[in-house]
Order: sequence, then C-alpha cells, then structure tokens
Amino acid sequence: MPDQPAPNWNRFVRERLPALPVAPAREAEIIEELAGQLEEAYQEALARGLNDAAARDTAERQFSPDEALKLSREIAAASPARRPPAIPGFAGGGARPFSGIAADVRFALRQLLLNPYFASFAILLAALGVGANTAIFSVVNAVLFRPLPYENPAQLVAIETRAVADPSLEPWTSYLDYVDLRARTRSFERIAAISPVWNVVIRAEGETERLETLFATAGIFPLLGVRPRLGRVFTEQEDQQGRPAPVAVLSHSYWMRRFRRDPGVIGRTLAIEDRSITVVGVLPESFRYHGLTPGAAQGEIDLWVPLSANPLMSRGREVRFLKVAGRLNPGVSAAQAAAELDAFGRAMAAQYPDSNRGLATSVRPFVDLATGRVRTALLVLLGVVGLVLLIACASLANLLLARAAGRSREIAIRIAMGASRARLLRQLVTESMVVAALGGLAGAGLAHFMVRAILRFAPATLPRKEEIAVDPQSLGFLLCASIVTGLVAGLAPAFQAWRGELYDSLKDGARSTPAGAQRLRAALVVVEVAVSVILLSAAGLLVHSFARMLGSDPGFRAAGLVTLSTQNPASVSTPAQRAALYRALEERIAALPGVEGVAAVSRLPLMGVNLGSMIQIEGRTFERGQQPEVEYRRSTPGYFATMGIPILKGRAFDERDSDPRNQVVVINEALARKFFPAEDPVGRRIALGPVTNTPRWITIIGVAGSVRHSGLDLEAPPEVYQPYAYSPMTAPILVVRASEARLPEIRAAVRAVNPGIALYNAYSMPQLLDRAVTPRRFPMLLLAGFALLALVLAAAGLYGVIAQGVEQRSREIGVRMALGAARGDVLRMVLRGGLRLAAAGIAVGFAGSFAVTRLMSTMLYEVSPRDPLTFTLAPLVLLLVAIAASVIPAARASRIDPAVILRGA
Amino acid sequence: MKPRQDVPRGLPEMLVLSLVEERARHGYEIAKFIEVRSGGELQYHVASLYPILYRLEQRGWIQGRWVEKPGERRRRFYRITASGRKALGAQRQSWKDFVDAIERIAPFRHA
Repeated sequence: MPDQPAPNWNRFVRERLPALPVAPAREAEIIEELAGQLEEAYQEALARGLNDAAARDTAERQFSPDEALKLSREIAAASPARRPPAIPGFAGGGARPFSGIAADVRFALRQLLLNPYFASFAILLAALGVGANTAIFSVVNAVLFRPLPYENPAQLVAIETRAVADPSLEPWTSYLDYVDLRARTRSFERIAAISPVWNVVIRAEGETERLETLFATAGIFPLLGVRPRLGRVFTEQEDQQGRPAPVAVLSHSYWMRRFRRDPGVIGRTLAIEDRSITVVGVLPESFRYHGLTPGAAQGEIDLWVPLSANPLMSRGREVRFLKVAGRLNPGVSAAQAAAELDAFGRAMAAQYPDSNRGLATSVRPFVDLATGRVRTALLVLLGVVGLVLLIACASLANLLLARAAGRSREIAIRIAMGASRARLLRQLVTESMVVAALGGLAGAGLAHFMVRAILRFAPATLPRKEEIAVDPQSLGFLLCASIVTGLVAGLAPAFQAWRGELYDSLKDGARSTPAGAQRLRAALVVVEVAVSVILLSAAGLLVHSFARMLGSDPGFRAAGLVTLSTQNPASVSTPAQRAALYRALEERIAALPGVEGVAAVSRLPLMGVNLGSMIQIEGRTFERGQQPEVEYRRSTPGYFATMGIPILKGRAFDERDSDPRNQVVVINEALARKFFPAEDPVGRRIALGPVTNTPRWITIIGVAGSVRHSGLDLEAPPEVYQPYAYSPMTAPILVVRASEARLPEIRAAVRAVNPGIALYNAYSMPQLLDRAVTPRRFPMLLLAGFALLALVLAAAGLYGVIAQGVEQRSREIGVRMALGAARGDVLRMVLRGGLRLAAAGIAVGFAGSFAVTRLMSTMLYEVSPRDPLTFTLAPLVLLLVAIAASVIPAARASRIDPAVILRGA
Repeated sequence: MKPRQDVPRGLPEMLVLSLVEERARHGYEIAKFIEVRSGGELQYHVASLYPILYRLEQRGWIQGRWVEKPGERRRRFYRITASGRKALGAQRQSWKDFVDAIERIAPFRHA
C-alpha cells in the first residue's frame, strides 16, 4: 500500500459538519477541538497496532455523518442566539423565512472552498456564459436598443423618394421636391435636408487638409434637438437659396484637433477652397450625425455649412442629391405620414412626369438609417450568445448534478432527519446562485475585456461605436443573466431532490447516481450537442460566405498597388490648368524608382463612393423614368493597365481621345452583357443623362472587365468609363503600381509639384480590400468563436456523462467481462451509449439549425441558408467530437479487471 | 460488548461534571474515562460527547481553556466552576434519592 499523507482531521470535520450558528471564530475553535480529539483517537488506534487504514476508520467512526448533523443541531439548540434553522437542510424555526440564508451562503461558500477544482470550473462556466452575453449585450444595447441621442428620437423619420422599379437603389431627393415636401405636407413638425459634400479642402495656418463636410438646411439642428456647445448654429436667413452666408459650424473633435479647444474660435475665418467662411459655432462633444449612407463620409463630420452653398441647389428636379429627414407632428403616426407622402408622391408624379414618374415617396424610422444595416447581424449575434449561455447553464447544471450525486448520502440523511424538501431545495439553489454570483463577478471582468477587443476589431463602419461600453445597463443585464444562470443551473439538482430520488438512493444503500439523475444529465448533454450543431452551422455558413467573398475576383490586381486621394488647390481652376497639374504629377511620380505605372480616376473601387448616370442606347427607346442607370467613372488612359483591369474587346483610351466634340467610352463587361448580349458593342453608340430629343451620342471603343466597385460581395453593376481629358478632375484619385513602402516618396513628389494639393486616404490596395471584408469578417469571427466554445463545452459535457456512466457501471461491466464479454464488446457498448446521446443531439440540432439559419440569409454571400456543405460538416464535426469524447471512458471501461471489481464489491 | 443505548436523561451531564470535578480534563480524556470506568458499558463518540460539553459550558457549569504544550496540538481542558459544583451536588443528591427509592422497592442485592 502506498504511503498516504497524514490525515487532515480539520478538513475532515469541516467537510462533515454543517455550518454552525455561531461566530466564525468560535466555529473554527469547535472544529479544531473536535479535530484534535479525532487525531487522538487515530494516534491511539495506531498505538494499539492497527494499520493506517483501520486507524483512520476507527477515528472516523467517532464522527459519523449522522452524529455530525445531530451535533450541529444540538449546538444550535444550546446556542444563546437561537437562530432557528441554522443548519442547512433542517426544518425548524421558520419565524423568519430568510434567517437561514446567510448560513446557506456560508455553507455553499465553504463547499466551494473545499472543492477548488469543481469550484473553479463551475465559476469559469458561469463567467464565460454571463461575460460573453454581457459583452454582446453592451454592444447591441448601445447600437440598437438605446434610443438615438436626439430629442424624442421616436418621432424622427427619414423621408425617402425611391424608384419604384428598383427599390434597392439608394434614395435621393431633388431640392425642388424638398421645397414642395415642406410646403405641401402636414404630417411633419419640421423637415430638414442634408447633402454630402465630397471633398472640401481647408487651408488654415498654411497647412492643407481635407475635411468631412456636410451641406445642411438650417433646420437640421433644431430637428435633432442639438444645441451648440459654443456660439450658435446657422439660421434660415443664412441659408437662403442663391444667397448662402459664408458661415460654418465645427464638430467638437475638429475644434479640439485644430483649435485646441480655443473658445476664441467663434468669429474666426477659415479659408475653404477659394472662399473664406466664418466659424459661428461648435457642436457638443457627444453629437454624431447618424443619418449618413455608409461611405458618404470616412468618419465624423468636421464641418457643417448651409445647404444653399451647394451649387446643385439651382439644378432641376432630375438632380437628386439630398437626404431628407423630418419630425412627425405630435399625434401623427408613421403610417399616417406614409399615407400622406404616398399621395404627395403621386401628385408630384402627375404634375412633373418628366422628372418624377416612377418615383414613390415614403417614410422610414430615422433609426433605420443609423443602424438598419447592422440590425440582423447584431440580433443574430445576441441570439447566438444567448445559446452559448444556454450551453453554459446546461454544463453547469450537469456539474451540479454530478456533485449532488456524490453528496446524495448527505442529502438523504438530511431528509431522513426531518429537513423539508423546500428547505433542501433552497440550499441547493443557494449553492448554484453562489456559483452564478461569483461567475457573474468574473464575467464582468471578462465582458470588459471582450468589449475592448470588440471595439478594437469592429469595422469602422459600425454605427454608434463611440457609445459602446460596459455601462450600468450592461451591469443590470449581467445581474439578471447571473440570476437566471443560477436558477436554471440549480433547477436540475433541485428538481432531483424534490422528486426524492436522492432519498431513494440512501435506501438502496448504493453509492450510484439514481437513474433519474443520469437521465436528466443525458438530456442536458443532448441539449448541449443540439445547440452546438446550431451554432456550428451558423458559423459554418458565415465562414463559407466569407471564403466565397475572399475568393471572388475584385476585377483588378490589388497586390502591389497603392492609392492616394488628392484635391487640387483653388488656384488651379481652369480645365487646362487641372490637366497640366495632373500631367506634372504623373511625370514626377512615374520617374520615382520602383513605380511601374501611374493613373488617376474619379472614384476608386471599394471606397464606398460611386456616381451614377442614366443612359440611352442608340436604336432603343426607354420611357422616361424607366431609363437604366449605370456607374460612371472618368479615368486617365493608363488606368486600366495600372489597375490590372483587362480590356476584353476593342481598346482602352489613349492620348488621342481628348476631343470633347468626338467623345468615346469604355464600357464594362456587365453592361455589355446586359444591353448587348448577342452583339459586339464596340462601335455602337450610347448617350449619358436623361432622355432628350437631341442625344449626344458617344461611341463605345472597348469593353473592360467588370470591377466590384461597391464591395467584394456585390455583383459589379453596368458601368461606363470616359477619358478624364474631357473634363479634368479637381480631385483625382491616384493609383500607383508600386509597393506600399513607396508611399512617403509619392507624397513627397506630390508636394514637390504643388504644396497646395491636399492629400488624404493613402492606402495600399490590399488594405482597402481588407477593409471591405471587415464588416463580414467581424460577425463571422465572433460567431465562430462562440461556436467553438459551445463545441468544447458540449464535448466536456458528453465526456463527463459517459465517464460517470462507466464508473457507475464498472461492477456491471466487471460482471459482464467475468461472464465472457470481450474487451471489444465493452468498448463498443460504451461507445454506443455516447453516440446515442450525440445522435439525438445532432438530430435535434440539425432540425433547429434549419430554422435558425433561415434568419441569416441577408448575412450570407453566394451561400444558401441550406448550404449542403455546412449542413454535412457541422453534424460530422459533432459526431467526431462525440467519438473522441466517448473513446477515453470506453477504453478505460474495457481495461476494467473483473477480478478487482468483483473482489472490491 | 455493546455499549448501552438507554442511558437515562441527565446522566451524561452528571458523569462529565464529576470527572472534571477531580481535575481539569480534555474532551477525549473524558470520553476514555467514561468508557474505561464503566467497563465499556458506557461509550461516547467524540461527536456525541461534544454537545454535552458545549451545553455545560453554555450553562456556565464548566469552563474550557486552551492549553498548549511544546510539540503537541493544543487541547481544550475543561474544569468545573462554582455553579457547576453546586449543580453537581444537587444532581448527586437527586440521583442518590432516586437510587435509594429503587433500592427500597427492588433491592439490588440481598443483605
């Protein structure tokens, strides 16, 4: 027999003795005294010549569980305080229903301290479940649930004018329609409009930079209920059509960045392009505008100027460039407003058929603009993390059940000695609540770090990102989640106790878990496996979509390509000057070592900013309003070669194509396929712009490969390219075939040509590609992480149940083997048991995932919500994991030595 | 030999009091003395003796004190108090009256 460590009688007494209703110090003394006496009994037995095991046994018999319980009861009866139900699990007292809670909690804490492995695992489970949920809740709450940070945000709506034929097109409103909206509708207390400004260059103290700027009607600030932190916002008088006042309102961050919070900024003038404007106000720090289309601005709006300063104001009804927002009159519902707008839209279409036929006007909650596009992904994540909590609860319940089984004798004795079921239940639930509370505490820390990681890796386009934090609401959620976890996980063992199965186990005198408990544990494992299948399927769909997207051809060669956006200084004003400036830039950059090509384009792929144009095709007629729209770009001749966009038919531009009277165009493959499916488009003519009787025909000279301009997961729309020479750009975007390391030299070259050129958005193309996939990668990574966690928990649960089953059946297995069962038979028997559980879980999960993944269709790309690959792999992975989890206990079972088992029995 | 289960109420208290009357003793020593002096007729486990000590101390009839000796676990020694002595006297008298009464009805031995 191996040498055993000396018995620790203190620990022994502590374990056997229920909490005493005395001061902790006094309790410790009592335990010490009792332990001392047991030690003496033990030493005396050794001295009498007994071996160690027999001596231990002699001493232990001095302190049987029944006697220990009786002892604690008698001490309770004799103690002066006479707190009645002082011993967990005992009836009695009852005058103060919660008087025993403190003792229950103390008892539970002591149980945890005595079982550090159990305790840390249980607390870890609760922390993972609660922490992950709190983190995701913090994000979803800040982005989706919390009202927008404006006055009465529920009344705010977006007023949208869409093409009936293609509602997926981004809605824009013309200025004249906006004026009519204000004059002819009654549903709104106030209507305001904004228009994104593409590029604004500001020159202050000699440095040139580009600002995110928004044209807005004066009404936008009162509409949102925002009051300036400093100065004032601009007024209706300053926003009169044709007479814009040269004023601007600054964002808090720009004020900080550029003026270092100088309150004297009010009244100062800024040089913007060729004009100077006066700062009249600074907006509050917390203010963000959430109504922008993604891509309309790269970040926060720095500068607000009156809409009347926008030259498009004077254009007709066809020129739609505004986003309109309104505040509903009190008592007017969104449906009433929608009805009025519908009638308004019809009236406009009847009155102005040339511009408004085929358009419909409607309302949408303003919050949709801010968060509509992330809603599905965030809700799916919240659901997923809820499932993770479910698994954590099931695992925790399983763990508690296994422990309750180990303590069934103790519990049975308590019942036998008169503990009421309710009292016992309370003790068991208290234990799981204590675990959940400690888990919640650890979960709060976990949530904090998870939220920080999420903020770090979340796409820049995630709306309301700055509002995300673990705040009091998150902590309230954490508290609720912890309580729910404690209750749900405590329910299983409590239910077991309630049914009295544990009591039965005492009568049997067996040390095994009652059959019901084993069944309950098996059911919990089935739940875990089922939920894992669902999560794995959901994650699999996203991963598959992501792989598809990565595999999709952007249409150009991104590697070894850099880009830099520029904005010409106001001094370069005529087309000839602009062309000359660009030529100088191109020459200078092309001469740099390591540069293989230079070109410029009006709108870069994947930057989120595109421009459309209507087209006509010679020989075909389109109704007004039914005219197709195409993407429009201007580029230098070298653009296709530099970008690596193949020319499929005809030719690209060259220097000859610079005469605006004899215009040419290169179309993309998508356009060729859509409008010239059976013929060669080269040599055919098209016209750009709305239908007129005297179209200016432009000859198609070539077909270029399609480029996914709007996103890797969006099909390339039909598109036309025109030579930049017809109208040289004021803000050419440079593309240079060179390594990223050359960017500083390229910047220096630009500055050497003209220091007044503003430089911004310097990227390597692979970086832009990467940015384009972030919005998909982010939910995918989170979901995959949660699915993995679920898988591990389910595997651990499966292993635990099977291992315990083997341990309990070791006698049976021993008998079987003694009667001639081969090791292989035993192995198969145990494996079969594990696989039966896994199969049940997989079947339930398989059915469940079909229901769940249907909700995700908008998050998928080129992958069906019933993707056969995913729905084969997810169950297969679970099956393999189940086999792995069963093999170890099965192997152990097959190694059982029948002789040892039968002798030991 | 099996120890007796049907010990009359109040008897264990008196036994403990009389044992610590002689001198201060610790718990296990008391249990041993009861077992040895009764010839095994009376036996107390550590767990069943302790509540008696606890009760007596609560009543103020005995007083426990930790005593440390070098190289040994410290032990709690109990000694009788003045009120314990008075209670013991009363109990002895009461038991004596009781035994005398029984003797008169059912004599233990014939003289």
